[in-house]
Amino acid sequence: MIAYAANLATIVAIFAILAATLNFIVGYAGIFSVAHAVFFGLGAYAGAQVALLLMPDALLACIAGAIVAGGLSLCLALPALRVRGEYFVAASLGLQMMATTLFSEAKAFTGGIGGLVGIPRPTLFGIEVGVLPLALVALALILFLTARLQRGAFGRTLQSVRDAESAAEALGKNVAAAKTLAMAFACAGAGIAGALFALHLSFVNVESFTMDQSVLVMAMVIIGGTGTLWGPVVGAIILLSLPSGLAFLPFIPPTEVGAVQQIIYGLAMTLLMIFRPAGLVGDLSKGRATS
Amino acid sequence: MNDTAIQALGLSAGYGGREVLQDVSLSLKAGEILCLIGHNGAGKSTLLRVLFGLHRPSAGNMRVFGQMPANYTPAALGAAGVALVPEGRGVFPDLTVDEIFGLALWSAGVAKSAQRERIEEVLEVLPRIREFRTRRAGTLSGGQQQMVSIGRALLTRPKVLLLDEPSIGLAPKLFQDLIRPIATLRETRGMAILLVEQNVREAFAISDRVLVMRSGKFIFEGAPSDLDDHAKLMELF
Repeated sequence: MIAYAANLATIVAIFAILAATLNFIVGYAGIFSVAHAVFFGLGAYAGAQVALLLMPDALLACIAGAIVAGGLSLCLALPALRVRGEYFVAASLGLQMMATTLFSEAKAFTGGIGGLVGIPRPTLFGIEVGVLPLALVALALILFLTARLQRGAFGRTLQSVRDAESAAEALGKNVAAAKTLAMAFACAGAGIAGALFALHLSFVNVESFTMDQSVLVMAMVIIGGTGTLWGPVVGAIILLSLPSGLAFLPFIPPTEVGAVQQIIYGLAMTLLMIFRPAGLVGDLSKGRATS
Repeated sequence: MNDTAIQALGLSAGYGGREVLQDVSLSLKAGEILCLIGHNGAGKSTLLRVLFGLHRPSAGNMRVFGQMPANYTPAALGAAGVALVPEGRGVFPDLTVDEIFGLALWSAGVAKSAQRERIEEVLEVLPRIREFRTRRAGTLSGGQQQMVSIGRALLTRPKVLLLDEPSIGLAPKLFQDLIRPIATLRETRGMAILLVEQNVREAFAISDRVLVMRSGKFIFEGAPSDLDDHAKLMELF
């Protein structure tokens, strides 16, 4: 039971990082990406390759994940600089579909559909460590950086871009640089989550980085509250604990848990959008979430 | 000081290989109101974006009061005294007017001690803003939002004001009330104003000179009275 709880806590912490970083671009920069799982995957594959080919050092794996995902965030930044709103959602959807295919086919890097197996247990400076404390530290760091960035000049610039891009330009803000940096930060964070995910499971394959995963992370952000610091964490806890909780209910057959879970997700999202459109942590009085 | 506020020579610019501005040159004198008209897609807004550093020209150069800007960025051109009021209001809907002014002053690097004075200067020109300073911009009428957008630009004490279709969505009377106080700034402060407008009658009433643009080029330059002949205006437009 303790091992089960620890595993759940680790997954929640990893997905909270993923949701917090997606929230950075959705909530603060107004860039609605449905391709966050791509960068989660890039980080996972990069971290796994470091562990398999070099050494299973968690720090090295996270750095590799952050560099690869952050560097390739330009794939998302370039369309973000040209199109907005629903057009960008469509562009990110295209990127997600393309990446899923690439992950399946690029066997040298991803292991293809079979994925990468036998990823060794993580170490930190030569000492074997669990992923849970690492994920919690990474989450705390991401939340701290998000809070700092959001309150500073960069955060104000991002929010001005989100609220009125033309007005931000008229204020002399470098909109392109702000969007690119926001994207790099968020995708690098997703890469760190991916590296930790690979080290935790000792196995990664493309099924963890599909469109469904991107939508799940987006749901965490929306349910928790976009543009809030703690909303994505709350969203991750709820959406990942729910299926685990359902599994313990005796009157739901184990084979039906998945279906019940989908119904509850859908119902929760619908009710939330009606009664708390700013999310669970969002500020209803303003009609928009605040931290 | 050089009395030519903006001197642009041979500006060309475009998007994705399509040239929108073609070898355009213009000069705008201090204290002058220059009205730029043309049909949709003529390149008027692109010209303003280039003059404010939001779009890099593919050829040509510009000087602001005789000086080449350090680079073609809004920050550098803003520091040189150029301000833009973008098309479509350009206000932050969730912020109050005071917050928008605070953000503009912070962005321009105006010291806190000088901020109250700057705001008072703007309120002297646009006194009606006092009535809704604490309201969120998103709840204001179109005319009020446009007032806020212009006020925001004036906070930086610009020497050159670029106005992109400020009359959109406004009744003619409202536009008059809005633009006439701005027009007085050319006399009181020697401000140069480049006004892009579709509302020709109101714009001509305050302008010293008119440029007509078609397909990225100027096809007419003259006094507003030169276009009193409606047929000629229609032919150019």
